[in-house]
Amino acid sequence: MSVLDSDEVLAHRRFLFEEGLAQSGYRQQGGAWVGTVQHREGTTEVRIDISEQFPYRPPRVTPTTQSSTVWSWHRERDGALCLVAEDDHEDLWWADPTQFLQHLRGWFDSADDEWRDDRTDMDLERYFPISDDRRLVMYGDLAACDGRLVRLKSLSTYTLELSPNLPPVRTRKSNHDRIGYVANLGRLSEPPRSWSTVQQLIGEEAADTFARAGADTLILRYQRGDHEGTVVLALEQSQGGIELRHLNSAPATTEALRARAGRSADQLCDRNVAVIGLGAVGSFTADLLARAGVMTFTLVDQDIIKPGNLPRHLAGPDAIGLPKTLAVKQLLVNRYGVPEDSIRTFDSRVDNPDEVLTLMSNHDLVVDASADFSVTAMIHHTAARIGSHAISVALQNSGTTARIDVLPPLDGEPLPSTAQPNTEDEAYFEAGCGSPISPSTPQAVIETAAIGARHAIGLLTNTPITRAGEARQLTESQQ
Amino acid sequence: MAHLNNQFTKALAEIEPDSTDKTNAPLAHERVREVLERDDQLREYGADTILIGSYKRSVSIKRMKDVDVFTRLPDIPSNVESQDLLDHVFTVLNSEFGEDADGHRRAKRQDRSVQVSFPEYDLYVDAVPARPTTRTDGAWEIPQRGESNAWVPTNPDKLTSLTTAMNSTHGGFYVRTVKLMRQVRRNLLNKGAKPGGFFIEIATYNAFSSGGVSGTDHAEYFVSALEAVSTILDEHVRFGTPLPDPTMDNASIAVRATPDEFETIRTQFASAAINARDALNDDDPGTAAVAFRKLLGKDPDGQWLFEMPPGYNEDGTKKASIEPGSKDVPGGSRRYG
Repeated sequence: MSVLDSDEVLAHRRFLFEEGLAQSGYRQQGGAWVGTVQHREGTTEVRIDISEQFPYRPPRVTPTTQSSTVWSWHRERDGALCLVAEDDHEDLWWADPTQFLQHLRGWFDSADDEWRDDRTDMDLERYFPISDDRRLVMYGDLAACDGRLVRLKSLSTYTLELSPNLPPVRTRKSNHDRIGYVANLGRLSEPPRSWSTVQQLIGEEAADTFARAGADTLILRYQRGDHEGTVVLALEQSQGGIELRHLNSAPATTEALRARAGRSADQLCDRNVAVIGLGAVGSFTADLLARAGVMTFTLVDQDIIKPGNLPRHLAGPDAIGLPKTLAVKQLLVNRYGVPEDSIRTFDSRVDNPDEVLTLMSNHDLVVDASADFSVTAMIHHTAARIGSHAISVALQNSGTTARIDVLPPLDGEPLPSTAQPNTEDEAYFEAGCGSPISPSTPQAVIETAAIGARHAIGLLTNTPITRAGEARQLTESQQ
Repeated sequence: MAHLNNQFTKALAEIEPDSTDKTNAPLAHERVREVLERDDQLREYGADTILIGSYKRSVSIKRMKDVDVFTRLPDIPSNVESQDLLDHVFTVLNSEFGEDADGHRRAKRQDRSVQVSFPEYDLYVDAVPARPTTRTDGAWEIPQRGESNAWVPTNPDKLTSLTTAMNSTHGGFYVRTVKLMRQVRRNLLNKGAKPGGFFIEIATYNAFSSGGVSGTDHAEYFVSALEAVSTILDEHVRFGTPLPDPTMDNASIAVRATPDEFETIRTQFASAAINARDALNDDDPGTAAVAFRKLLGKDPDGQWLFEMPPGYNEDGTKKASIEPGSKDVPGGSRRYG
């Protein structure tokens, strides 16, 4: 489709939307469309503004008389109706005038119904303009801080951390810090929008404490339905007096991390995994397992990080020279908060079945990412001998096949061999490397690690994806 | 239903007199007014010039060719004859404006007025002298064509105020609808054919005034006005029902048109009203747009005044590029990135 065609498609969609509004009795007035919405308990005149970004952005709807519609969590700071939730950007449904107007009527019907069965979006900050201080305020468990002054310590140009144990005063050294007051507003029926409303909500005594301490930040906890939320507001002087503006803020709690780690995170946090081989595939597999919630690891590899590893390895340039086990350990500790003492490292080869037996006995799962035939064979035989299962993750055939094997299979036969004869690719050797450098690409490495991690998580949660594993061709561009 | 609001808005913008004419018209009429008000004789008659006509009422359409200046002479003695008055106005304007580059006199004596040409603007100003009457409706008298010392009553300033009031009553749709009706007349009749735009404007005023025109947007007003005006034309042409002049008591509009010309405008507007109603009721905006554009016609450059809505071919069919087939997002919904 050409650019001209594409422009016309967009213009056509806008035309159809506007024509739909016209057919529904809306009329153009000063660039907007004005009409009435008939809902359960009355009729409300609204103004519909269609932006240049339509249909990628939904139209904005505002009651022509702001006070004719009750203020609630479902209205924007400027009075516009919150018609489309951020996570409802699916299918551009609002470009269909019938659906849009139906949705609009539904909004008013729900408002008439006082938003019973309301979805509780925790987005109080939407009702305050954003502060010029764009640092992110990170906070932990706030319940213990209710009614207290706290210091928001400046960690960097971009972050502040709520530190309940630091004295809530600024010194010359800490003049980039903010002083805050934590208050629990409890259940809010509608969002506060101004300093005077917030003052009433936190109470006179708290407002006094806040003022006496020269605090400039309010950390407000609130409840909607069964959910708890927090908003961090900066008190700023404006032309009209004191104004509250919101600071970017986010919890830095285990729960916040866990919420994004997948449904298995709660189960995985009790599992321990041994990863044998912390090369490219092994490092990313360990990383994915830690992201998914695994908190206990044993990492085994005898190699160190060299500059040439960087394109395909999890570790960055600051890890050059470190044992691969330690490099990966540091990342898991720093990034995901895995406790240091729950990651053991062995900077050595696995070269006898007893070591494998020990690893298998002491871990819920052994992940073999060694791509070493003899190590994989040892793991396979040991697992079969003790009636356990391990998983082997590797790239094969110069990086064109992702191969994951459950060793031995949960039942039945293993996957057939996918090994192909050696191609005549020119092998590249590097000093210090006893074998040629694999031509596997970084994307093939990460893709293989991801498939391996999915299978490993399946075994760890007793919901295996397959009985024997998976082999996948990874077709690379021929360029 | 096809409302095509943006297409009507753009068509109205297309028939609006262009900015050059809008800039030049005041320059021209102010020159004429200044000359008339400066003349000793006319000053003695109490000369007071005002703008009248479609330009003043904002109902003129492209291309605007003339502007009317009404010269009220409240103190003119009753024995001044109409032709003498016109002669005097001609003398005043002729001595001031002289000849153009081609040697033609710029002032031209007409039946009821003196016309001054402004070749540099491609524009004319008609100066119409008027004397007061004792009528209670506030009308004035202007020279009657072709007869010595005959006068005819008129009240153009009243039409200006009636237009303003009617436009206000209808939220600005009256003036816009008049322009569209004048454009339909221009499109459907041969060039120079009568009745002219003023006749259609008065018919439209009567249609609005009778309550026969209503709507909430351009399309509804346009269709409703076409139907009501068509009815008025039908009664006027077939049954001789007079077309009332809203500016004066017990007066009606008389225009110079042959019976054939009247019959043509009657039948053309009758078909136009039917086609317009069908277009408004059409569920297909493409075919509706084709019908509306046929009613409004083309500009002097041959471009349709009513553009097709985006996504439609000139024949009203949908363009292939906007037919369904390519989803906005091939993967569909419920994705995460």
